Amino acid sequence: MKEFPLQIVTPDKTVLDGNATSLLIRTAAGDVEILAGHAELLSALGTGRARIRFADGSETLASVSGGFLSVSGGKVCVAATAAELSDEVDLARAEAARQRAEERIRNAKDKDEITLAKAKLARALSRISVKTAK
Amino acid sequence: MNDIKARIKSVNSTMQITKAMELVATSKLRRAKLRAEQSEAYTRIAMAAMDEILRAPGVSESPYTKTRAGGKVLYVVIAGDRGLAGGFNAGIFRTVAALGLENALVLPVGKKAVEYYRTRATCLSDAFSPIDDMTVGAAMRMAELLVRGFDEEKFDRAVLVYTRFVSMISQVPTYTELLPLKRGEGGQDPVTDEDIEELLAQLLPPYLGGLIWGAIAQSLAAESGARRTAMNAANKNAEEMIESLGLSYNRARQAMITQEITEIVSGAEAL
Repeated sequence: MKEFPLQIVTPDKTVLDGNATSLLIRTAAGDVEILAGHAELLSALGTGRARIRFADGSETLASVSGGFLSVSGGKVCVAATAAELSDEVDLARAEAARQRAEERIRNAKDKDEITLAKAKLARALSRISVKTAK
Repeated sequence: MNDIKARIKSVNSTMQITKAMELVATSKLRRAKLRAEQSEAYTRIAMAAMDEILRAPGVSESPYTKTRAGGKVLYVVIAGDRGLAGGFNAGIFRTVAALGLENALVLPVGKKAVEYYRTRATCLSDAFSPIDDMTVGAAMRMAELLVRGFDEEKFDRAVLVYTRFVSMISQVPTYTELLPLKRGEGGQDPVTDEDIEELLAQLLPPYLGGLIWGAIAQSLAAESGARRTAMNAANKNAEEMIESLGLSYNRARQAMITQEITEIVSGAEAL
């Protein structure tokens, strides 16, 4: 399969910079799969699991939340507010974050708190799913 | 003579502290510079995407690009956690004052900024401190707070004030307009699955968060740079002081010896 250059960055680190053959990622509009030669695209990322396939057939999962997805000039750039490859995810921490978020939702007093906690929960769930869905 | 000895001792111990602070500032500066460089890739992608959206004809109706009649300004002010960095914090506060604090809101970031504006201005939130171990998540929360405040018309403009790290010896207080966004011209609607205004609204928080994070990284590097310079000057002063105090000490000691000899000689002569 044809390869394309893929860069996944967050404000504080470069998560991935190399070539891939496929990127499946959740945007605000839904899941999209990007292969080499994809048309120009600009999209907002949702919170969820991303799957990256490489030329040697191996694949890796990543938890990605919020930010930009841009396909331009054959180059695919993901600028996420938070992103972790599956082997970087700390399952115990994610599990703890999930419990905290669930508790927050139960005890929330106003709408803002619920929205915030729900976003936290989504991120924790996405991290957990990246780790457990092997 | 004992006076001078005590002073030399005290200057020496002060110098030990300033020397240690210089070393700490140097290593912190290295880390902060790395962090600032690291954030550039994200900012580049975010700005390119935003630029494309802002030049698209489709966003002409977005509330985020409209200039509002009201003159209420929100300043996001990024300062440090500690003093002893020359004019670093004062420089930032002066820049904000020059921009005009009347009818303004402030979102202070860093201990010094929170302390300073708590009594001098209306703060949007005083939760963003300390700045030293702040995470990207905090920058994103600030961005969300900004967007929400702008939506609720708590302010009509948002300006980010921070110190730019130019070089080891030069740090410049500077500001950028965050909101409303400036429209560009001559572009086309980008290819996307979403409504372009919807896309803008979704991308705005991560975009602003990236800018704020970049400014925090710059400011931390600038603070360490300023502190290093200040501590370096303090060390030089202390060294000079010890040298001149040492001279006076020796002179005083010599005078004492001379006097003792004179006394002994004149005592012997009197016999």
